[in-house]
Amino acid sequence: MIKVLKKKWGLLPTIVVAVLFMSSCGSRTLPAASWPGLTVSEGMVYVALTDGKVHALNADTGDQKWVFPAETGKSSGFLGCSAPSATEGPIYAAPAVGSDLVYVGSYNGNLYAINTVAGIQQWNFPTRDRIFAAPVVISDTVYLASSDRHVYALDAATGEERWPEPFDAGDWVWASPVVDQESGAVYVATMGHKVYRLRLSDGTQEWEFSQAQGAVAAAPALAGDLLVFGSFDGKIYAVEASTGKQRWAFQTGGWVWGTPVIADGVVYIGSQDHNVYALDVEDGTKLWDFPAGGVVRDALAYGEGTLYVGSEDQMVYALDVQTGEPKWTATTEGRILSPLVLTEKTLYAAAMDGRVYALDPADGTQRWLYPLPEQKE
Amino acid sequence: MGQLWNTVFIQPMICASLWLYQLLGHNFALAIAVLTVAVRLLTLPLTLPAQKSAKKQQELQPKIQELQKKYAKDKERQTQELMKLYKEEGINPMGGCLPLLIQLPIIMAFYQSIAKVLADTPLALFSLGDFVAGNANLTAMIPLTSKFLWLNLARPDPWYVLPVLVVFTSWFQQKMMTPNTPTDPQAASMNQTMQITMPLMFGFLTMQWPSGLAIYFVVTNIVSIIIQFVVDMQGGKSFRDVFQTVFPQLASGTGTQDKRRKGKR
Repeated sequence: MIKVLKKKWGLLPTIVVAVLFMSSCGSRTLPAASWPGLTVSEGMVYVALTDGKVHALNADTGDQKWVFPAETGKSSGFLGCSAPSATEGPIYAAPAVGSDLVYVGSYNGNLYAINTVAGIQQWNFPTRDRIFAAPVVISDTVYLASSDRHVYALDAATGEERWPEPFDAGDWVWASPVVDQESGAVYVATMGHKVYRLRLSDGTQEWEFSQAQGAVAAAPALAGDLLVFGSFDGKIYAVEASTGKQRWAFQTGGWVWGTPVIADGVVYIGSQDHNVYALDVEDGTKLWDFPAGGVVRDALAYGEGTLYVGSEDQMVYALDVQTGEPKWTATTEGRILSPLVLTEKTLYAAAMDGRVYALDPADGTQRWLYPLPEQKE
Repeated sequence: MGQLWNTVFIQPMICASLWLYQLLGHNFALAIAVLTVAVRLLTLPLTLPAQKSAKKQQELQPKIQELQKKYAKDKERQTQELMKLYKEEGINPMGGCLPLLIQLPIIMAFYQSIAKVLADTPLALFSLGDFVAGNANLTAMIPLTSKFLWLNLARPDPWYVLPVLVVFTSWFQQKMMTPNTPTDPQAASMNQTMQITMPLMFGFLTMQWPSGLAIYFVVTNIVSIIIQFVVDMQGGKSFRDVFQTVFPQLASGTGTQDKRRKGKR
C-alpha cells in the first residue's frame, strides 16, 4: 500500500481529504431525530421541538419569549461537519417547570436548569447516558430518569443529589418517575420489563413488579392505590400501588407506549394497534374502543366529558367519553406522538412537523400555530 | 412500494436476526455474524458466477493485452476480436453484473434490518414496533442486549478497532477481486485509487455507524475473501499460489529473502 502511495502522488489529495474527514467529524455520531415534548405553566408554553431546542411561548398568542440554546443550533463546520449545539442533539422529554426554573433532559445525558424569564442556563447535571424521560419537579426536588439505568433525586435550586445514591434500575429508564408524596413513594418503569416502587426519602426499593413480558416505556398513572401502565407485550396492567400485586390486565393488539389517563373511574389508553381503549378501572373491562387512523402512542388529554386523542395519522380527535364517538377532528401536518396538553381555553399539540398547534377544545379550530410557515423557512 | 419492500425483505430479516439472537444466548454480535454468513451462502449461486467470470477474465489478460496492442489503431476490430475471444472462452463480459444486481436488495435489506433492530432511541424503537409488535416472542426480546466486549452494538466503536478491521478487510477483498495485470495504465491507476479510497471510505462510514453494522461489514468481507480464495484455488492452485498471485510484491520479497537465506548458508 505504501509503495502504491509513493508511486501515485495523485492519490495524496484523496487520502488527505479522507483523513481530514475522519479527524474533523469522525468521532461524532449524527444526532437522531426526536419527538417533541410540551408543558404549559402560568401562561407560558415550554416546548422542546424537533430542532433540539426549548421554545418558551406565550400560551395565549404563541409569541416566542426565548429559545434555549439561544445561538443557532448548528453551525456548518469544516467539510460539512456540524458543530454541536448546547444540548448536542435532540430532546425527547417535555420540559418540567419549577418555581423559577425549567428543567429539560437532553440526548447528551445532561439535565439543564433554565431560567424561566430569560431562558439562560443556571446549572446542568450530567448523567452517563441519554435522557429520554421528562423530569418531574415536586416542591424543591427534581426526579430524573436516564438511560444510564439510574433514577436521581436532585435539589431543584442547585442540581445537587438528594438521595445517598441514585436508584439503579438495572436497565434503561425511558419513562418519567411517578412521585406520590402522600404515600411517600416513587414509581419507576423500566425497559427491562419491570416496575419498581421506591421510598421517596432515600430511593430504596420497596417492591418490584416483573410480570410484564415487554418493556415499560411510559410512566404509569396512579389512581388511589392502583398503578396502571402499558407494556410492549400489548397489555395494560393494573397493580396495587402499596404491594405491587397485579389486580388485572387487559390485552391490546399492539405495543402500549403511553401513560394512561384515568378519570371518573375509567382508564383511557392508546395502543400501537391504532385503537384507543376505555377500560373500567376496577376490573379492566372494556367499555369502548375507538379506531384512529394510525398509532396512538401517548397523545391523550381529558377534559369535561371529552377525551382528546392525537395520532400518527396527523389527526386530533375529540371523543365523547361515554361512547367513544368523535365530536370533532382537526388535521395537522405532522404525526402526533407526544402527549397533548389541555388548559381551560386551549388544547396544545406538538407535532412531528416541528410545530405547536393551539386548538379550541370546543370545536378544534386553530387558535395559533408556532412557528408560522414563514418563520419556519 | 415501501410497504412491499418491508414485507418481503425487511420483516423476514428482522425476524431471522431476532430468532438467532434468542438462539445464541442473547448475543447479537454473534447473531449478526451467523446471519451474515448465512445470507452470503444463500446468495452464493448469484455471486459465484460473477467471481468465476472475473477470474477467467484475469487469466485471459495476457491474450487481451495482446489483442489490444495488435489492434490499437482499429478500435472496431479490437472490440470484435475481444468479443470473439470471450465467446471462445465461454465468458460473458456482462455476465457477472446481473447476479450481483439481484443480490443487492438482499444485502441492502439485511443492512437495513440490522440498523432497525439495533434501535436505541425512542423513535427508532417506535419504528421497529411496526415489524415486531404482532409477535409476543420477538417483543419480549426488545430492547436487545447490545453489549458485546467493549462495544455497544447500537453505537460506534469508541476504540476504532472495527473501522480499522473494515478498512483492512475491504482493502484485502478489493485486492483479491482486482486483476494485477490491467489492460491499460489508466485502468491500473484507477484500480489502485479504488483499492485505497474505497476501504478508507468504508472505514470512515463505520466510524459513524453502529458497531453492529461494522461487524456485518467485517464478516461479509471475510466471507468474500474466503470465497475468492476457494474460486482462485480451483484448478489445482495452492493457497500459497493464490496469495502470491494477489500480492506479487510480497511474493517476490519472500523469494528474495529465501535467496538471501540460501546465499548465507
